[in-house]
Amino acid sequence: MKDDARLEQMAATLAVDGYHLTVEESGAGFDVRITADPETCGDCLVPKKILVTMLQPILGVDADAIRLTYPNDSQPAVGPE
Amino acid sequence: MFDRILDPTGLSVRPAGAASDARRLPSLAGARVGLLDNTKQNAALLLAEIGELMASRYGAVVTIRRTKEMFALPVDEPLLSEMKAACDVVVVGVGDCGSCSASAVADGITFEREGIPAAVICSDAFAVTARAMAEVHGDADFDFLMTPHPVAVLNPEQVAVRAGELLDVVVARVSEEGR
Repeated sequence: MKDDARLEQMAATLAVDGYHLTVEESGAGFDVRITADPETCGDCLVPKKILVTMLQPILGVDADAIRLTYPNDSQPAVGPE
Repeated sequence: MFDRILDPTGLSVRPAGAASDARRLPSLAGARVGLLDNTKQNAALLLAEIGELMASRYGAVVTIRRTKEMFALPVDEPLLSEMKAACDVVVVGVGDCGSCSASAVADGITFEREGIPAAVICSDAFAVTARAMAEVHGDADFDFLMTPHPVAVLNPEQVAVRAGELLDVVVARVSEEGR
């Protein structure tokens, strides 16, 4: 079961670094999106694997039910591979 | 040769439900203190001030000061081994953002599990992240120390004041003194 109070705390913590958390229920899981203010410290966000692990007890689901999107995920690749 | 490799995410070091407290020192007199700063603004200065106070008021000796290469990543094996060999207690900080507070707590738990009492300093704005990381590492009750956010904007005089405010809890965290 989703713990809204802890989710709000997590959102407030992320906001201190300039990140914004949105969570939407999607089927049996959750779509979690992190967006960033301009010039936000890119290294201040924990790696995805860690944030998913942190979110599991808060959202009350297993890791595979959390689809996490980070700010850079939507940016096109730059330059040749 | 290293006897093991640390997962850079910190997630493999997670014995479920394992408390991580190392044995506290009965006294800090003569104790070797390690300072591990994470490159965050004022971290090195704050730890240096705390180290000086531990020396002048409790007779400890700062024997090693190191800076992590990346604040968001847990301490690596070579640095862990070096600090284990050089100090009896360690002060880690400053968790002044989401990733570095989580990483600082992970470092503290790692040191404790290696038998080194660790005082981890985080700013209070990141208590949620720090606590969540402690849970991830199977030690939800890990006792990190909090100081008001932010630390980065303080001037040197304010950092010195902050160090004085933290001294007693740092000492109580790593030793029996002041408990």
